[in-house]
Amino acid sequence: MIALWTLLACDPGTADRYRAFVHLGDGEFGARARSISSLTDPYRLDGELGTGKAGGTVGIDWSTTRAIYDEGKPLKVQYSVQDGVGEPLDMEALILFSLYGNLQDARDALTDLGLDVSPLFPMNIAVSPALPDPTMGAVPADNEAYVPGTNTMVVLPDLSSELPLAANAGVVYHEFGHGLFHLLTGDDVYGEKFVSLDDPAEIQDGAGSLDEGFADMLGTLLTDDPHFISRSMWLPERDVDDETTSALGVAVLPGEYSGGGLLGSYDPYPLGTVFASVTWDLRVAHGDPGEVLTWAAEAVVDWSHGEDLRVYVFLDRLVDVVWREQRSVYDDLCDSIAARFEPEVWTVEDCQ
Amino acid sequence: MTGLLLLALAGTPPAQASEAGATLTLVGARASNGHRPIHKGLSAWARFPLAERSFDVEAELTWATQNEEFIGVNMRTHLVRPSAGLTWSTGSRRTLVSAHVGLCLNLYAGGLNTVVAQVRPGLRTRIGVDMPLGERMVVRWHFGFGTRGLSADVDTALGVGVRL
Repeated sequence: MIALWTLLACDPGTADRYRAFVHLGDGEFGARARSISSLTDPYRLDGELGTGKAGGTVGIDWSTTRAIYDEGKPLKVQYSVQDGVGEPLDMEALILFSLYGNLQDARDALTDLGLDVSPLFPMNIAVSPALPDPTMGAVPADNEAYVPGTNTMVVLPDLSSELPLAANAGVVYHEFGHGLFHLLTGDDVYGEKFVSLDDPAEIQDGAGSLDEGFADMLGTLLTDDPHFISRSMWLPERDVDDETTSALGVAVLPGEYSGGGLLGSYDPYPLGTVFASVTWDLRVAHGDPGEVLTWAAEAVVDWSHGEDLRVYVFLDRLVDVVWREQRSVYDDLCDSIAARFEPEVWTVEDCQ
Repeated sequence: MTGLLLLALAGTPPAQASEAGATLTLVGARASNGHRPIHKGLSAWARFPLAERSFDVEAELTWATQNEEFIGVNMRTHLVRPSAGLTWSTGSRRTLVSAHVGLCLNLYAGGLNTVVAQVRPGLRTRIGVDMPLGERMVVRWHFGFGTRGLSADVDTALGVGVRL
């Protein structure tokens, strides 16, 4: 039944739930009322997790080559409260509520797993900022991003009629995963990346791939969905349950030609998918996606704080963690690494 | 446009005639993310001369709508905006260039299971041109702004009217 509610008051009232896109199961999504307790000022999209701003600029300080974010104007989210539910008046409000709810779910799930993500909050939420990246700046749509060093989540409009990216929990977890990767590998979410432009291209490219792979681990393991990206855009090459996905199939591996640098042309996604496929194999073998994610996070910390920053050493550290934590799936992990990396790309000696 | 303005400004003062008409209207209504998606709709206006010959009282009613759909979740938003104010005009007997300032009331409605409407007062400003189309008909174009609470919408319209 459709009811018409008219409000003259500027204050739309207090909501204890908000209508947002939620996962209904089996890959289906719908708009339902849900709790977003971290959202204290819905009109400004402001709360414990951060504040949304419209526009602004994500750029590069060329004197330091560090990313910078000049925040935009305050958001004015159009909603009204009916029966305790914050009802969006337009699609954009529905998507923004969904984003905040997904961020809250990421925080809560990771905290429950024992990972301290509190340094990432409050974060900047940049809605449709100007972007320096030519691939995103030319068509600033159908993409999301996390900007390390500025702790900024970038939200762009969607042009297709599929599930909006900001409403796709897996995509938000993926982007949040970049923030967590930055936190795990460094000391400060507003600090520089742990690899620099002075590092060899192999190290820079490899770190980029593991950054993407770890983000995919969050996307797949927190949603327990190996196809989370395809809920919004058809990218079967990013699925992590394909047995044929291997590093041998990656056209360009770290350091092979990109040259690294600020405008390096290396594509980090294909190898990242291979890493995330290994952890998905581990999830299938072990049965607990959350615990697998904690192992991956521990391995990232061990790898990034070690002497050898070649990206494949992450696999050695993951094997070490699994050997310590759950030996029953040790062989499964070694089998997965063998199938996806050995022998041409990398061999984990402890698995031999 | 410059030539049109010069022609209008060089002409004789505007005629003392009431006018009414309708336009096809595009409204860029500020959405929650700061964008202004295009709402398509209709407007109707009526203008009544005051004793002071360069000023008229003008009323306008605009309705515009836009639809967005993702994964079968459909959200249609409507903007209904009555406004009234003073219009200053100059130009020849038949071609008028005008500027309008007034007050408006915005009803912005949308929703999924429940259609929710906000009512927000605001200011309305507009510049326009009325050009002759035959003896009594006019073609009207305008470009304007309307505030809706703390948000600002932009609109343009093209239509026809009749001088009474």
